[in-house]
Amino acid sequence: MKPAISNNIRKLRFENDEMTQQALADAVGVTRQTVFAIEKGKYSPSLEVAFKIAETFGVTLDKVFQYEGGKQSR
Amino acid sequence: MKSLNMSFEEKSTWVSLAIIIFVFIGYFSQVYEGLISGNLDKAAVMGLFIGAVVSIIVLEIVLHTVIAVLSVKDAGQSTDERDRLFSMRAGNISGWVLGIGVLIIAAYTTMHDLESVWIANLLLFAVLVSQVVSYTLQIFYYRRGY
Repeated sequence: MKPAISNNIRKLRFENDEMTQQALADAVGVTRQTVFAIEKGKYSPSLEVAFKIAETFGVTLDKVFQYEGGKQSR
Repeated sequence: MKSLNMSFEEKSTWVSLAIIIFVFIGYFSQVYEGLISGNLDKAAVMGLFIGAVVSIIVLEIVLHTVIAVLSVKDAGQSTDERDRLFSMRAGNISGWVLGIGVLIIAAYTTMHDLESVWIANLLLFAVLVSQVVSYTLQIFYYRRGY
């Protein structure tokens, strides 16, 4: 089932000195392709990675990820 | 491969899938030909098996070196949580495939009188099918993204 979580990672990357996907991946300990999948809403990271992403951008978790609950698609 | 946005682990999985299919199609076709012609004995089957194992080892080393050279940045990455998740999910399902295959073989061999070399080949076939299922599922998860 496709994850029911959307995110602002792409926007946050551009707001942070146009951080590349690779730079974000290196900062949180995943591959660039995983960052790509997260941005596209295809993959939900673990809590630990989600918190690391938020910490990298210096924002709270809810500024990065939004739970779409009943709107989730199959 | 860059335009397909593949991690090194995904590329590695594609390579391993291709190798295992290629080598063991060759192995089982030779075993089958030998079985039909009646020219195959235990020593010959063992020779073919060792040849298949050596082929796999050599091809894995060579082709993984090639993909590492072609994607230097990605090759330096270690497996991440998504790689481990996909591997575990695929392994969970392929484990069932192997278990069912072994049960079928066990049932078959209790009803038919087979030499040990043929029982070993049936078990090897079950292992290969489960590994192909595992690699295929991992690729499916990578392409789907989740």
